[in-house]
Amino acid sequence: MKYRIRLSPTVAFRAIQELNSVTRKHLPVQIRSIRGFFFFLLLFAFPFSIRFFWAFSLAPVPYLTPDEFIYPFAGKLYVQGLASGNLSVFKVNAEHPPLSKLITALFIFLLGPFGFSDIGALRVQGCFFSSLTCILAYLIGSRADRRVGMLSWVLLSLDPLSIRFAIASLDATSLFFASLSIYILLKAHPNSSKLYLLSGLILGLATLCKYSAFPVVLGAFALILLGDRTPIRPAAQKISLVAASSLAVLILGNPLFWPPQLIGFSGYSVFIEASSRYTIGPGGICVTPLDWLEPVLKAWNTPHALFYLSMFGLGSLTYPLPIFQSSYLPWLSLASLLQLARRKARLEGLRFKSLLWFSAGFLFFWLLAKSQAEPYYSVWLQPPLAIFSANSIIDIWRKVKR
Amino acid sequence: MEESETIVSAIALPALLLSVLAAARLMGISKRTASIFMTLNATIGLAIFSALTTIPQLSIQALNTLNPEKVVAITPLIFTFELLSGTYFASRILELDYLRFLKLTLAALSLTLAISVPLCLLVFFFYS
Repeated sequence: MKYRIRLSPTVAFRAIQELNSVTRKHLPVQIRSIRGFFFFLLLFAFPFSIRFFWAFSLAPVPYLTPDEFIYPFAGKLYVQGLASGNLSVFKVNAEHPPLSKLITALFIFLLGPFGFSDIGALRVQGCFFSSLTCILAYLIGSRADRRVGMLSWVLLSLDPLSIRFAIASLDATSLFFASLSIYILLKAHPNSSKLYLLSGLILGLATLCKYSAFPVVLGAFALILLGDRTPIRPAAQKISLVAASSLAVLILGNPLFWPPQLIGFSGYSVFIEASSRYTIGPGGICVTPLDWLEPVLKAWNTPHALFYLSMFGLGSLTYPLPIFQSSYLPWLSLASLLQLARRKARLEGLRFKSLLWFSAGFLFFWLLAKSQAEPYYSVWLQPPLAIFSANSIIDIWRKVKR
Repeated sequence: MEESETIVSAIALPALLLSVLAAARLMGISKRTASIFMTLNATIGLAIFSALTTIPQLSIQALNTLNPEKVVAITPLIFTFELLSGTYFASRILELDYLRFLKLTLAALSLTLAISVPLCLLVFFFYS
C-alpha cells in the first residue's frame, strides 16, 4: 500500500507528461499557427487600442504643431512628385528624410475613404508603429525569458510617454525599424554576415524615417560588441557591414543625396540649408552643449563670460528630456540599477545589452538634442528601459521566490 | 552655419575619447573596460541628477531662474555629485575598484581640459 502511494504520483506525472508531449506533437501545424497569430494579434491590439483612444479621444487636434500639418502635406506632395517625375518636391521639409512621410501618404490613401482626416491618418500611422514596437519589446525580452518578454511588453504598452507621443509619427515609425534592427543584431550568429546585412538594411529604413536612428543604433551596436569582448577586427567588420548597408539604403532612398545631374539641383545643399535651422544659442549658434563654451572662451574678460558660463554649466549637467517627470520606466530602471549596485550582482546578458542600448540613446540625445530638444524624443529611450526594467524585476522576483 | 560654431565640440569630443584611452593605458586598464565604464558613468550620473530635478527646489525651471553668479557657484557641486555618483554606481555594477576608476575619470577629464582649452583658444585667436 505504501509502495502504491509513493509510486502513484510519479506514474501520474509521467502519464500526464507523455500525454502532453503526444498532444503537442499531434497538434496540427495550422492550429498552432492560428494560436500564434491570435497571440500576436492580442500583443498588437492591446497597445494599439490604448494609443488609438488617446490619439482620437483625448489628444487635442493639432497636438504636435507644426509637424501634424507638415508631414501629411509633404507626404502627399512627394507621392505626386514621384508620379510626375518632379523630384524638386523633396526640397519641402528637407531636414527630415522622406520614408515616414511617404508611409503617411499611404495611410492617408488607405484611410481617407473611411473618413479619416490627414492628421487622423498620421496618428493611426504613429499608433500602428508604436504598437509594433511593443511586440518587438516582447520578442527582444523573450530572448532572455518569456516572462521577461511579457513584462517588457506590458511595461511598454502602458508607458505614458510612449502612449502620449505615439502620434509623433516620424519618431514612432523610425523607432520601430531601429528596434527591429537591434532585435536582428541580438539574434545574429557571430559568424553569419547575412543577419548583420539584414539588420543594416533595416537600419537604413529607420534612418530614412529619422536620421537619429543611425547614431543611436550604431552606437548601441558598438557598445554591445565592446561589452561582449568581441575582438577588434571582427567587431570593426560587423560595424562596417551594418553602417555601409544602412548608408546604401539611405542614399538610394533619399533623392536629396542623388547626383545633381539626376535630380536637377544640389539636394545636399538643400539638406544642409534646411538642417541649419536646428541651431540655437548666442547669435543663433549652438550645436552641442559643449559649444556653449565658445562664447565663454571668446568673452573671457567681460561680464558676459560669467553669464555664458552659467548657461554652459546648467546646459551640460541637466538632461534635456524630462523623462523622469513623464514616465515610470526611468524610475524602475534607476531603482533596478541601484539595487544591482547594492547587491553587487553581475550585469550580463540581455540586461547588460539593453542598458548599453539605453546608454547610446541617452548620451546621444544629451549631446545633440540640446539645441532643440523636443519632449517626444524621449520615446527613443523607452524600449530599452522597458526591457531592462522587466529583466531586473523578473530577476528580483526569482530571487525572492527562492 | 559658420565653421567656427562647432569648434569646441570638434576639439573636445575627440580629445575626451583620446584622453580616456590614454589614461586607461597609463593606468593599465583595458580600453574596453574604460570605454564601457565611462559610458555607464556618464549615463548613471546624468540620470540620477535628472531624477533629482523632479524635486521642485531642484527643478530645471528653479535652476534657470537663479542669477548667473549663483549658477556658476552651484554647477561645480552638481558636476561633483554627478561624477561621484556615476563613478560609484558604474564601478559597483561592473565590479570594478571604485577609487581606481575615480582616478581614471579625473585623469581623463583633466587631460581633456589640458588638451582642448588651449587648442580652442588658439583656433579662436586665428579665426578672430
